[in-house]
Amino acid sequence: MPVSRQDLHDLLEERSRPALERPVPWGRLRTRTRAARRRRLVAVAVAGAAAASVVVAGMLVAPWSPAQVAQLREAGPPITAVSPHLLPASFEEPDGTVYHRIATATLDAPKKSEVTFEVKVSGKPLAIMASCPSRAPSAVPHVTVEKPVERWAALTPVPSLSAACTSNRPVDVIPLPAGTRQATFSITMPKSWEQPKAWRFGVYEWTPPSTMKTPAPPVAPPKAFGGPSGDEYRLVATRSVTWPATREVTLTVPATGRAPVLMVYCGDGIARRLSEEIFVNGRLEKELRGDCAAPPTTHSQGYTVLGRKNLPGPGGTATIKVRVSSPIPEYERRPGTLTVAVYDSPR
Amino acid sequence: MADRSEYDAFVAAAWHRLLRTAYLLTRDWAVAEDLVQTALMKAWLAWGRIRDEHEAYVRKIIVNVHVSWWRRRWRQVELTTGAPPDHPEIADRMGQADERELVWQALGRLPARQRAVIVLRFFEDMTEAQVAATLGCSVGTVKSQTSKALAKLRIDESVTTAYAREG
Repeated sequence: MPVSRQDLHDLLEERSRPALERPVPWGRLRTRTRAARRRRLVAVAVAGAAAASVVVAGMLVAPWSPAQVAQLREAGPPITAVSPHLLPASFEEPDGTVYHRIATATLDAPKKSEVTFEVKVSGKPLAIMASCPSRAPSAVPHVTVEKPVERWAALTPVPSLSAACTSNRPVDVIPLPAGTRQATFSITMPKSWEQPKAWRFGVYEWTPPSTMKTPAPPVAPPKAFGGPSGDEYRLVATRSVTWPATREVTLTVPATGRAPVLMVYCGDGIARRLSEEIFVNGRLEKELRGDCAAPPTTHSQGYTVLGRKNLPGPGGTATIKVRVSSPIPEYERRPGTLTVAVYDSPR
Repeated sequence: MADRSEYDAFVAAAWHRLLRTAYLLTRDWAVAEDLVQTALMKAWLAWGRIRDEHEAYVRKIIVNVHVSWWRRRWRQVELTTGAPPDHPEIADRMGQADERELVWQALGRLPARQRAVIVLRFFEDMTEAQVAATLGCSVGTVKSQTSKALAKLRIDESVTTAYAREG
């Protein structure tokens, strides 16, 4: 019996669905885009053109509109059973951190492309949660916050609300200057090929538990992954530590002349919420700065292919250090684990 | 001046959809990620010149880079002979699962361009005109490539669905 077109569509949809579990490899992507930009700059210089500034990344300049949504402060006991994407008045994460909603806003797309609103804050850490139209919407609104003199991309560790949709967890706001009691948020819908839908947002203040829980044991990294047979990258060394007692992991592996592959992830409440820096033989890989990913699953293994420039030839050793941090001091009271695994690559 | 924050927001929003398309074309997660990164890198270099259709632009790069890679590197590996085996007479749930697996395997045997046509038409839900624009060919070529691919996959073209819009 021949299969139908609907069957074909369903098959393609099903087989590609694990993509939703694979995070954006920000570090690798930035490495490649900057390397390409450097190559282009060199080419431009050789050609005698003095227009290299064309490819310098720009600052965020978004249209500004007057405040239009009043802040809403609510209080009450934590609610643990309601999913964050429903923007409950309050909820508690598994590590005991309690989130209280202090404001809500609606971006009424496609009628409007921006919403601006004032929020009264107490000085506790802030986070934004979104009621996303889907788990992987075509366009994710961009969030900025007005500080005393300028507007900045508001979110950390990466400037995107995407994690709110893919992880169903609030995304942290970069700490406001000390003493700030009111902040102006602006949320803008980027242009997209798809008809934008209305989004709702909740701004939350969060408080970690007074007594820190013990973190769950770290997820073990896969012994091998990648490639058609699932063993393109093979585990060479791994180590896990507990945050916040330990903030970095150092592994020394034999240099093979091939580019090593690195898998770094954080477990528990700190996953995708800490910044990550990678040092190879003592030198910071500036292009690889990003967020500490969530642990791998059977469908998703985020990884970074390290460049060879800071590595010795065969016979030497490569010392790889990964350090995680947060600009939000309250993460000192949120437990988690950091795991670093180094793989050998045939390339 | 290219706006890095706008680019980052676009990448964050479109990554998963682009990766799905790339995986259906390459059938390997590592290669698919490499393909999407390559396309995004190219898009960044042209960011200031791309107007509204960022995702369509990147998807077009993905498809054409894939076809180019396939021609250069994977032809010997990918090309095997034959269409799916004859279908069992009795359809049950197990048979249906086998059928899907056979179609999936047959999809992997399609030449890159025919596979791209199938993915764009029946996963991305593009019209024939949109597929032609993406691949840089005529609508007639899209029609003929679609017909050949569906025949190899043994897809019943008489079954109409809401998503299969005609271009």
